[in-house]
Amino acid sequence: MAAHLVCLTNEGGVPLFSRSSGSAKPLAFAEQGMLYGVQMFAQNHGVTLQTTDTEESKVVWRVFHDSIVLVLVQGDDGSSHVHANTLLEHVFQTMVMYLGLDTISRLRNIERLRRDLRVCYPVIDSLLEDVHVFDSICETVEVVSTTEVASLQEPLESFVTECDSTFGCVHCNGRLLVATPKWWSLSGQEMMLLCRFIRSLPKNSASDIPVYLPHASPKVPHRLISVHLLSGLVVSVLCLDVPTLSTVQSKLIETHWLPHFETLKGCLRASVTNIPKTIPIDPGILGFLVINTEQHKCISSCELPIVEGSMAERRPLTVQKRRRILTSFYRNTVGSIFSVIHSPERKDPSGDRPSTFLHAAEETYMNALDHKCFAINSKDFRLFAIFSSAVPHHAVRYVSLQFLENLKKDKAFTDLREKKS
Amino acid sequence: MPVTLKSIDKILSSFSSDNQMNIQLERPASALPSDGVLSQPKVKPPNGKIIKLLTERSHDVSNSFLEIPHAIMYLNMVRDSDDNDAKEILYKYPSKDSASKLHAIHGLFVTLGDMLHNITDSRITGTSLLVGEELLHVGYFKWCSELLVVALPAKNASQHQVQCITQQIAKLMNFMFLSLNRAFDDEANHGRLDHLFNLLMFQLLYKRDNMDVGLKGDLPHYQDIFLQMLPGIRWLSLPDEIKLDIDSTITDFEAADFADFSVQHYNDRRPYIIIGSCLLYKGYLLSSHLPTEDLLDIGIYCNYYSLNGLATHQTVGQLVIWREVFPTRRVQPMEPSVHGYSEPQARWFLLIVGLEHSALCVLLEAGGCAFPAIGTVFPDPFYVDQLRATLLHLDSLKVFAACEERLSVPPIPALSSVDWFFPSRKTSGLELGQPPLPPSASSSPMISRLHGQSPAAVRGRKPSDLRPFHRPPSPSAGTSVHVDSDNESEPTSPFPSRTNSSQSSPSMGRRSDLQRRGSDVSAESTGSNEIYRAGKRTRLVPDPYNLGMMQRVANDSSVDHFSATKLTAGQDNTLFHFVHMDSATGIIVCPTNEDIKFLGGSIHAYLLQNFQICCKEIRRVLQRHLKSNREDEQLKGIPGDDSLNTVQEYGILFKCTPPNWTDAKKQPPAVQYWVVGRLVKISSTIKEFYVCYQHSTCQNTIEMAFKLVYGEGPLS
Repeated sequence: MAAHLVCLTNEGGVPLFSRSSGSAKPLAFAEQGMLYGVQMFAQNHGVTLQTTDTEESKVVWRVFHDSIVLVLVQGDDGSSHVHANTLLEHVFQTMVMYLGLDTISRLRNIERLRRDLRVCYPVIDSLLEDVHVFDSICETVEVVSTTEVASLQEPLESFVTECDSTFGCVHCNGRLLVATPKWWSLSGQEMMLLCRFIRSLPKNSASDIPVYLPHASPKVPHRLISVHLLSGLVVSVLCLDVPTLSTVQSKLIETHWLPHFETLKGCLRASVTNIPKTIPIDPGILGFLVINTEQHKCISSCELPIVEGSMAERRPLTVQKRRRILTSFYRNTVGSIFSVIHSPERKDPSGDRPSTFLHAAEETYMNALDHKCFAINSKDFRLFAIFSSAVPHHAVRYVSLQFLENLKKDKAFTDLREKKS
Repeated sequence: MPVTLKSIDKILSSFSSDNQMNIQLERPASALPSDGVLSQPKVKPPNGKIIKLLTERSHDVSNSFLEIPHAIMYLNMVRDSDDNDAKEILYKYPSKDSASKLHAIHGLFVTLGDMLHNITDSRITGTSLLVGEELLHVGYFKWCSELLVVALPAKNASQHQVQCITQQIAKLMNFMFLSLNRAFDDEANHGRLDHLFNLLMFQLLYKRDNMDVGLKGDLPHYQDIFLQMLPGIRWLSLPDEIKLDIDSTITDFEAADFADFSVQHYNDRRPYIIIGSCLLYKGYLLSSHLPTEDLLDIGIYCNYYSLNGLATHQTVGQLVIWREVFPTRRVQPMEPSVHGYSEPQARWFLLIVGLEHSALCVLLEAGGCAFPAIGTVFPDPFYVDQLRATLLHLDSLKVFAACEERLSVPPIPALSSVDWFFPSRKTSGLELGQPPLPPSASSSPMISRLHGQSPAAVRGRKPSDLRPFHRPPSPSAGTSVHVDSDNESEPTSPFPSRTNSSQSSPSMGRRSDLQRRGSDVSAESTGSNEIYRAGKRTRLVPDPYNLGMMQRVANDSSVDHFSATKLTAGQDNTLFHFVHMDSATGIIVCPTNEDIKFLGGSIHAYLLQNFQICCKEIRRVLQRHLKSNREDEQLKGIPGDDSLNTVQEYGILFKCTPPNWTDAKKQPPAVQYWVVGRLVKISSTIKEFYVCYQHSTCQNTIEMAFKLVYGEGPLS
């Protein structure tokens, strides 16, 4: 989806950076200034400007810590403003993650800050783009579903202990493969941003970069050591002064990970389509997103195969299209039909309260010409699924409920944390 | 006291604003027709004070909502550097303090409107902002270089609602004044606009504000939240004979070929020709012979001037409204003109004559083939009289009595109250206004109630609705019984059930025709036997609604009652509520306010409220579908997402528990229900259907929509 993001200082409106995504042309300097100007004008009159809609797009203003103004101009998909606010929250916390809250909230040298902020661009751009994972819109970390994960827990724990830390994890193609219990204690947003951060690192490299954890330690940096084990497969550990990157690279990696080379390769293969092997999936399901709201993680796949000779094969939906539909369905459902589940630290402007239903919404569906969507809102889980239009309406609900039940029983998805804690 | 045209101003101004009063208007029998005409274009805002006084003490409350921040402004977006005196605010409401802050930041709205058009290449529609602690929604309507801005508190109206209201105000201004500029530029209009917006704010701010106090108190207003946003007028379905009476009477009037209407009478061309007319009763549309666009224009006019509310709550002695209008269809044609034909250059006038609870709205054209109108045009007493005569004639045909009867009978099609689905409650259902249920069954869950029906109760069940009464008993009637009572085992063909409901209703004919009644009685006995047999053969499930109705009807001297059709599939009648909107005819079919009162129930009130909120959300998504069909051109700026643009059906499952559940040990009983919105496309027209039913049997919304509105609507 096309979008513009403008970051300015709250005092004076000095532009810090501006990013554009999709088909949108970059904003002119004057336009950035005006976006800031209207907000400032309102502020001077004791009015807080929150959002503005046009027929095809929406604009959201947020001021963070009285120092930074973020303005987002985004194509409208009919969704609640809460998602635009979530995105701005993510962008701000990305800045915190790289530079620390002190630097961002007390602006001293603006020229320098502008230079420093460039390091955030890859992550911010990935947040603005439509990417192949759902983690940012649902503020959770996306996991890989494979049975081989269990056998990697042991080596990870011992590796992290050797590094004199308790926070460690393995990412696989932008999804979390396995993590230590301490890592799971981070907030969903932190895990998501770290995941994006690690994904943005150059391929096949090893790095040692100080990061601030937006909620756990926004003012004190930790060293994040990340080493690519295979292309797309990264082991990361958060540590203090020791060990050095070279120690990790030369001594620890081989001893801990070489014996599991085959397993890692298996996981890498599984992460491409991310279809759970252990769960029977109805052939009518074309894609799904399941969120474990309690453990801040989600699992998704839009690459489920179309059964040959089925009705769905006649008018197949491409994987990109399925993903777009599922994203839109999610954004239109959460915030307007289902309540939003935020990180507890997040304070939202009062503007994006979902419309207040008097009764609790449990399920919802949309039947379109070329697909059907179904969503379930249960206590700890949420399911969003896209079906072939050939599946009859009454079957969609049954299949969805069955699928969620099966997934709840699947250890690979639900037990990731309990087992170790 | 006698009121004449000359004395009315004096009399009205002599009332101080603190007084509460009821005004009943009555025309002296001896008076000349022109005396009855209260409104003249040059005199005061037409109908202004009368309505203001009649719509529930607006004088008392006009001060109470001044505290609430709200504003309507019309802003000039072009700043002429040469002319420093050029006004930026062309019109503002209210003129008092409460909106001063909003007036002060009018520059913000102008800048936003201008800037965002450049950045996103699409028109601005809405803004949310915090004024102090209060969240406000702002709606925009941009017209050339001017901007109409409407700001309302979020707790009174949602963002989407504010945008709808803004659109509607713009439409109304165009209808009344030709263009927004003509409406707001001319200071002479400002008093009139102030009055109109007073009425609007009274509806929006005062009524809603006082709603929170007692949820079950004033139910009908809850409906408005969603219905007022729909482009359409509520339709009252009537039996065919009555519809025929109405349509033929109005057609007679429209034909205008009776002696006095003729050219000879005037010795000249006739001053107006009648483009079409529509008949309203208590705010429900009974018949429309107008093009849909014109009907919608008039609908908005009546709505914003609270004429519907007036006709519902008060008995109007006589109401005459006359004004020049600029129908959207003529002024801003949407459809390409037909080759070889062009609409005449003419002026149009809206004439509304109200009598008791009914109102007849007529659109007149001067110019074209009628005499061209020049200058200020006064209402023609002759036309007013003809309208009045038409209404009186309709009354003499007992049309309005039939409407009243239609409003007093149980809902058609049959509705259930959600309260009936809860097993047992401490409060008695009777207190809540629920139809009485058989005492033996009232404490058990509804399902068992349904199964434990005695044949006697079944026999009592409205035989008339199972058989079209004006046909002689025929073998086919038996099948109709079967179909109606057993929807679950075999899908009902919508045709017979619709026939039941539309043909079997009471009626004028029936009342007057004793012989027919006699045959009906005989049909009753055979009919009930057939039902009984059918009951043994298959499952026969009368719904509790009907049983309740039975008792009510039993006390009534009249056996006539409207029949009900069951819309939902499955054993029980699980239908709670529905709204059907046909954009081609501009009519909305939904349960009447009286239906809702009939059902009662405290939980049901919550359910209806939730239904309204939910439908807004559903419609927002479905609208994207409609929009995408309309505009195919590629936009340059920031395009919106189109993934959900083909959605046709959108449903949400809710779980409903009794409010104020105090028993902490036990789980409160719960009923699950669906709220489903569906677009029904028939050739090029699109209908919208919103329905609320209990979660049990899987329902087919298309089928329900079809059953509901088959044969419904104005003549087309």
